[in-house]
Amino acid sequence: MATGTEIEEIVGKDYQYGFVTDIEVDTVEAGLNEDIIRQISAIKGEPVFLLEFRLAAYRKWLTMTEPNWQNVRYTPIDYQSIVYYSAPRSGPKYQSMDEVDPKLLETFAKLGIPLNEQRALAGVAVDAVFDSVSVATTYKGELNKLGIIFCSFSEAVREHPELVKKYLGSVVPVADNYFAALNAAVFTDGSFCYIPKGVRCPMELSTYFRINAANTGQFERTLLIADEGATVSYLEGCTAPQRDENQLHAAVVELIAHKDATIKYSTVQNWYPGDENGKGGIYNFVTKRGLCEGERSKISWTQVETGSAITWKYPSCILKGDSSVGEFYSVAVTSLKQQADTGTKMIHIGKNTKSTIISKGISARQGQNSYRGLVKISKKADHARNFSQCDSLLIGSECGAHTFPYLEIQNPTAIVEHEASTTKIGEDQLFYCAQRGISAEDAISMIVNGFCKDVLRELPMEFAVEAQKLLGVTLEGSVG
Amino acid sequence: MSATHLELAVKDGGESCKSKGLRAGCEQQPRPLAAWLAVLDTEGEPKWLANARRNASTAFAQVGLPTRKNEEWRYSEPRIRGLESASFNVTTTAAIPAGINLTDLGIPMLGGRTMVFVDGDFVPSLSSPLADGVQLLPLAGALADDSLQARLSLTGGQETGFDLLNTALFKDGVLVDVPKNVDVSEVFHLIFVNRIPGMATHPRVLVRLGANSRLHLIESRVCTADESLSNSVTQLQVGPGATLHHVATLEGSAGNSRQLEHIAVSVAADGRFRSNLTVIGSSESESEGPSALVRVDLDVDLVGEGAECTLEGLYLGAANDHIDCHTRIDHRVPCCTSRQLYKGILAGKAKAVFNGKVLVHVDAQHSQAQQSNKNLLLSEGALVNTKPQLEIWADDVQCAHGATVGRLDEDALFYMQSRGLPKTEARKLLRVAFANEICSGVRSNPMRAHLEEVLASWLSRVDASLAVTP
Repeated sequence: MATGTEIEEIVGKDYQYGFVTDIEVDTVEAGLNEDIIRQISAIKGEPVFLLEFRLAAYRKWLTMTEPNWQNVRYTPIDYQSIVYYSAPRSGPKYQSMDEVDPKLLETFAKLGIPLNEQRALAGVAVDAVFDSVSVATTYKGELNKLGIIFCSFSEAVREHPELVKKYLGSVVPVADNYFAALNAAVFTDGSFCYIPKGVRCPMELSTYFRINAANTGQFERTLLIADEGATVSYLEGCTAPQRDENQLHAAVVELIAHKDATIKYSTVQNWYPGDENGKGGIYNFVTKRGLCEGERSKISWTQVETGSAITWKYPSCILKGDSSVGEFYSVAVTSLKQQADTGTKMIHIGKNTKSTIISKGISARQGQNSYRGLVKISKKADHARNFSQCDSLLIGSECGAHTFPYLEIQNPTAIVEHEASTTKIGEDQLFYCAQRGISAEDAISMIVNGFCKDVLRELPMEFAVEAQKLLGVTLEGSVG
Repeated sequence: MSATHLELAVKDGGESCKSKGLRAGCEQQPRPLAAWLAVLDTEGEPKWLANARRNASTAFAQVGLPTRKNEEWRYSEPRIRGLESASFNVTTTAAIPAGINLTDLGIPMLGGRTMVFVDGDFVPSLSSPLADGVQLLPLAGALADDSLQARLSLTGGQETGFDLLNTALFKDGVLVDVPKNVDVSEVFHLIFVNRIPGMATHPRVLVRLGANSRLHLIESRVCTADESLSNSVTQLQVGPGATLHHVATLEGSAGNSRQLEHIAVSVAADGRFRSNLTVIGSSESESEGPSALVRVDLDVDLVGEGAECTLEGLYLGAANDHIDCHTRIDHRVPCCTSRQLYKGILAGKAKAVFNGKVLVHVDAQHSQAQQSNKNLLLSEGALVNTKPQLEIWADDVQCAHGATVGRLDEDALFYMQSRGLPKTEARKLLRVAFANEICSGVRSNPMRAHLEEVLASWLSRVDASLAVTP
């Protein structure tokens, strides 16, 4: 738990990751049409199947309309003013760290992930995505020995096209939703990970995404496959430079867990939330879905969402294999004028499937937080079990907390429980702490951390510390 | 009546209705609802009402019936699909049998004041209206009073196509007016029976309780008519410090029948509203062909500080029933309290929907809202969609909701068996206990006894049919 001094230290800091790295970039023209897509595909030297995948998605996208059912409001996005590709102007390949643009390395150093020190860091391999092209990958050799493939998406397309072809779009089809279709048409890079049969990945795999060049939407594509009996834990963390233009981030993450495989996917998201007037900030419209394909497979999503002007995502699990397990642990904090509409979908198809949803929403200042979730027990999912709990904490009179759970139960043997509560921090709790000599600020940070404990303890160690600090930064000045 | 309306009527009715003289003949012909709007007969009605009907009719032309795109109607839509083109009769020439036996229809005799409507028509011989200070009247006779105009309007912008149809086409209904400081000792019992297949009725009930008054209002709605539509709108105004107990039962599993009721309530400062709703569908586990839809939309507006509402509901469905219970509670001002408990038991291929919405508006501080929905599924093929929803725009609130779907507690069953109860008995006991929590909330003794009896017999019939088809 973050101590009072830690919180104080963090409070009073400006958004510390708000800097723009001055690197020349290769960009295509702003706008979106088939030529741009062909151009992106050509720059990246992609095989035909991928170009066709993109074009099919684009044609589908043209027929779709932007959804408007969500409980968030934003100015319309002009899709023709977005630059869909930008790559750091550097050599095509890096053989060693020395070749990497020093300015880029500096950026990573500011972010706290100096690549030179990465190897010394305990067991974390980082595949750093800077804007759209992967620049360096560490620990590759070690992972290679186990047969684990962990590389940028572009590299996977070149080296393992058969795997990409087999799994790409298998969990999130191109026409799944408006933003997934857009991503499928224009995605530039992302991460690819394959854990072979029976292998337990010896380290936490992590990727840092970072939005850089102005007006460049980020369209990552992540594909993670755990073959039979494999186990992997994957971390994703985000920080972004401060700027005024709203930036669209429409990523797609697909997870596939085969028989007896386990995937743990953790996210700490701290993109620029916009200033006090709600100006600027990132739009985070992401499609994340995992497929528990085989028996006894397990997918666990953990997320800590503190950034972005708008967070709109529902990491979901399709529990297809018998006795498969889906988990969703989430903390979403909205402060300033941030809006979050997040939750999960647990779709039970196999027998004896089990899912757990723990969602904690904290709204402060004028933040709006919505939980929206679906638990669906289909006809054949005998003895399915779900437990959902979504709690909201309100700080300040102008914020809002909303809950939209959908429970669709078609099997009489299912046991489904949902509970939700909304409260503010109790006067009596603060009074009790004050009696014991704990200041209001410290008391609130204790209460908030306690409120989120069920989720934070699911995070890997490194992230748990960062997440607690982020909670403090985000709620800075809104309490006490 | 505009020219386009006329053409529509001609096309759909298949018979010319241009002159007034022909209309009587036309009325024997079933026709789609929109066509009935086109031949609105407002003659002899006060001007304000004629205007209100015409406005509703125009608005309906734009809004239409709810579609799949309408989130609130997503799950009900399959049962109202094609309703626009279905033909209905709106009046009947069939005489009401003098000795219509309400008890045979499963309607309890409660001994208070009664208002009976059969197929939309008021039955004076079975009714006991009241017009002395406290008013309990057939609505049709009271419409000359233009102060009703304001009471007829539903909260702006929220009207669905069904509400508009009701305003445009309602023929009769009930007007209840209780002056302030009156504790009405008699139970008011409103009975609506639909027997004739292919009829569409749109009863309207307007109830107003003056400050510090108290009333016990019971509604029994029974539908035995295939292919019929009953589209009621009930508006309840609870004055400051007043208390209204509202008990409604909707019964009906007639093939392809649709019973819709929209209950709109407003509760003033320190007012109390207590609602107890029971929906009883089929009791067969298997059934062929299309079946009934029962949908109740209960909207409560807490508009004065200190207002309270308690909503309890029980829905029992089997065969091919579709039961939809929607509630919406608006906490518009500070210091209001709402409690909700809805329970359902479903067998056969029944579908049930619970959609409970609690909205705490900006600055409605110190709001307290509790909501709970519990469901028992008895057979494969039964389905529940539950959506307990909280929208909170104020911070100093205590709100909680919960929903469960499942089977009987195995441990409880085992415990009872270990004490010597046969499994079937134990199961029956637990089911009765599950549902009885709602029935026991009814304050009227004869009504509670009636509901408990209905529940027990429904459960035993369902049990029997489940035993036949394992």
